Amino acid sequence: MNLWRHSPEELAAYNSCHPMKLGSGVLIQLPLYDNSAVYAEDITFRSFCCERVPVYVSTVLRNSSPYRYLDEVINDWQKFIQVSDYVGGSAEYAIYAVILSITSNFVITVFLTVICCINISGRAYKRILQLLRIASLLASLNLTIFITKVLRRLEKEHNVYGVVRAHSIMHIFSDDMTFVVLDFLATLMFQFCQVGIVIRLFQRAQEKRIIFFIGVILTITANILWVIPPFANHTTKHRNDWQILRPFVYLFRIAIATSYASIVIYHIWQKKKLWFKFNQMGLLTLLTILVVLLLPGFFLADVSNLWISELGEVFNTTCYVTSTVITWEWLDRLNVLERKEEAQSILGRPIFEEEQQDYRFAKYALRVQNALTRRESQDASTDRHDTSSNSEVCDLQTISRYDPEDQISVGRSIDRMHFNDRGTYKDVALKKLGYARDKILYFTDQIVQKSVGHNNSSSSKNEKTKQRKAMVRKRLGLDKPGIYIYSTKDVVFNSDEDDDENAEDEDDDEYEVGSEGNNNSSATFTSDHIGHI
Amino acid sequence: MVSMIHIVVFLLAITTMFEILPLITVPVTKYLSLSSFRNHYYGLFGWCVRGQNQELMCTKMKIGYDSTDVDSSGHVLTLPSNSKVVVSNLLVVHPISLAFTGTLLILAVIIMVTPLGDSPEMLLFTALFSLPTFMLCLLCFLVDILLFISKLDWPGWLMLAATISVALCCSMLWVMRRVVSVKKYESQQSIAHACSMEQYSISDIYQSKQNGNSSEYEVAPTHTDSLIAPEVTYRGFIE
Repeated sequence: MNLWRHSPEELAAYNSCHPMKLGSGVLIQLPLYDNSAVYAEDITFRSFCCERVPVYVSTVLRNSSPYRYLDEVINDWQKFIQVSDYVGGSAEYAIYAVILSITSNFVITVFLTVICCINISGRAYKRILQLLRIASLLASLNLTIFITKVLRRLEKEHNVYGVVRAHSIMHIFSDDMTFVVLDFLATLMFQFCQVGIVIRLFQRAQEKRIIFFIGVILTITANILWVIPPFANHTTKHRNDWQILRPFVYLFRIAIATSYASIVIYHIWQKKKLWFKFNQMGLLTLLTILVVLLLPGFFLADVSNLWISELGEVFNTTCYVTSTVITWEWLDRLNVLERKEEAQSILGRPIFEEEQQDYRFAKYALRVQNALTRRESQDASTDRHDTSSNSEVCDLQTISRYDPEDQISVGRSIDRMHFNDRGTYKDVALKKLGYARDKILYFTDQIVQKSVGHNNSSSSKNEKTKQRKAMVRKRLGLDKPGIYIYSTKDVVFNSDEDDDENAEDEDDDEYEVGSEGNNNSSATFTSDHIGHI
Repeated sequence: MVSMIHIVVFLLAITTMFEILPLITVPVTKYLSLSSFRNHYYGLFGWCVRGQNQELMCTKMKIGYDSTDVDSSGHVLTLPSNSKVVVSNLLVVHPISLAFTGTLLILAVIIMVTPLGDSPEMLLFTALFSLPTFMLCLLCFLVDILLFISKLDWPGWLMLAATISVALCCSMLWVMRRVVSVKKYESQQSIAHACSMEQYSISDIYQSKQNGNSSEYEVAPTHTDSLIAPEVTYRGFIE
C-alpha cells in the first residue's frame, strides 16, 4: 500500500455503486412463475460493488442481450476499464497479470535459492555464505506462504461471491504480519550479505574495517526505521504521524541500493580486463549490472505509476535475492581469474603498505628473483654445474634471515631495568583509549578477515606476540645486522687434487656475497603494491 | 600541473552552486521552480499559483506544503505524482545536503592549502564525511523524483548532476587517502633505514670492481679491502 500517495478511490466515483432511482415499472424475477412479475412505483437499484468499486461479470456485458445492464452500469464499466491502478479495471491489473507476476517472482526466488544452496561454495567466506543461504530460504518460504494465502483468498471469494478481485491480494502486503516479519528478516540478512560483498571487493584491511562499520550501521538504521510504521499502524491510533516516515525509509532504502549498485559497477569497470577475456564472464557481468540496477529501476517505475507499483514488495524481495546471489557468483568467478594472474607473480598476491614492515615482502621478493635469475644463468653454463646447489642453499639461508631492523627491539633494551612509573593522567587515558580501540579492531578483524576477507597476517597478528618475538630475537642477538643463522649439515672434505679449484670458488663466493649485500642495502621501492615482480 | 585535490575542490564548488539553485526557487524568487503543473509552481519552501490576472500568488516560506494557503477555488492541492501533501516535508533534505556539501568543500580547501593534506588522518576524516554527503545528495534527487516525477524542472535535474559530482569527489578522496598513506609509509621507512646502517652506493661498488680488476698485484683501495673481508659497521647507542 502506498501510504504517501492518495488512494485511487478518491479520484474515481462510480454512480452504480450508489442507489439509483429508476422510477416505476414492472419487476420480473426469473424463472417465470405465477408471482414472478410485480408492478412497483418507486424503484431504486444499486449494482454489485465492493469497497465502492464495481464488480462485473464480464461475460454478460453485451448490448445485444435482451436483459442487458442498465445504461449507468454500462457507463461505469467504460470508466472502470480506463482506471490504471489496483482498484481499476485495466488489463494490466487483471487477476491474471497479478498472479503471473507473483508466481514469476516465486519461481525466480526459488531457482536462485537452489543455486545458492547447491552451486555456490567457499571456505573463506563461509559465514556470509551461510547467511546468504538462510536469507534465500527465508525469502522462498515467505513467498510460498504468500502464494498459498493468495490462492486461498481467491478461492474463497470465488466460492462465496462468484468474483475474483485483484484488489483483495494487495491488502496482504501490509496487513499480514507473517509476510511483514519474514520479509523484514530476509531483507535484513540480504543487506548484511551485500555488505559482505562490498567488503570482498576491497583488498586493504583498513578499508574492509571501514566498510564493515558503515555498512552495518546503515543496514541496522534502515531496517529499524522500516519496521516502525507497520507495527505502529497496528498498535497506535495516530496513523497520520507515521505518514512521513514510510516514504523517507523507502527513499533511504533506494539510496542504499543505488550506492551498492554504484560500487559494484565501479569495480566491474575496474576489472574489465579480466572479464573481457571470457564470453561467459562477459555475459555474467552484464547480468550482474542488470540485477544490481533492478531496485533503482523499480523505484523509477513505481513513481511513474506503472502497473507494478503496488507489487513492489514482492519485486523488492526478488530484487534483493537476484542482486545478492548473482553478484556473489560473479565475484567468485572473478576471484578465480584474479588468482590465476596473481599466481604468476613471486609473492602470489598484492601486498599493501599496511601489512608489510620494513619492506620485508619486497626484500623477500628481490632475493627470490635474484636466486631465480642466478639459477637460470648458471644452468646455462655447464662449467659451474657443481656450485649451483651451494648457491641455492646460500640464497635460501639468507632469505630465511631474521629482520634485524625491527622497530620494536630498537626502542627498548633488555639489559635495562624499567620502573613501573604511573605517568601522567593524560598518558594513562590515552593508553586506555588505545587499548579499547585495539580490542575493537581485533574483534572486527576476527569478523572481517575470517568471514569475508583475506587472512592478512600483519593485521591479525597480536601486539603481544610481536613483542614476545622481538624479545626472543633480542635475547638471541639476532637484532644486530650481519648476524645470520645457517642450517647445520655435514661437512664434506674434498680430495687433495681439487684444492686449487675450491680455493678459487670460495673467493668468488665471498666476492658475490659482499656485492649482493651492498646492492640490497641501496634498493628502495615506491610503488603502491608489489604484486608482479 | 593540476592535482587531484584541485579537481575535487572545483567539482565541489560546482556542486554547491547546483544545490543553491533549488533553495532559491518559488516563493523565494518567482523565476525558478522545481516543478510546474496545472498552473501551479512548486519550490522548496512553498508553492505559487498564477491567477487570472497572470500574477503569482505564493504561500509563506516554510518547509512542507500547505494546501489551503493560496488556492481559493475549492480544489485540493494535487502534486504531479499524486503524493500526499505531507510528503513534501521530505524537501528538508535539500538545506541539510547543502550544509554537508559546503562543509566538505571547506575541508577540501583546507587539505589543498595547508600541510594537513599530507595527513592520512585528515584525508580519512574527509573521505568519511563525503559518504553522508553523497547519500544526502542522492536523497535530494530521489525526493524530487518522488514528488514531481514527470514535471520536474531543470533545477531539480541539476541534483542528479550534483550527485554524480559528489560521487566522483568521494572516489577521488579515497584514492588520495591511499596515496598519502603509501607516501607516509615510504618516508618513515626511508628515515628509519637511513638511521640504522650505512649504505654503499652502486657507483662506489662499480668503481671498486674496476680498480680491483685492473691491478691485481698493487695495493688495493679501501673499498676493495672492505669487499674482500666484510666488516660489520652500525650506529648504535648504549641506553
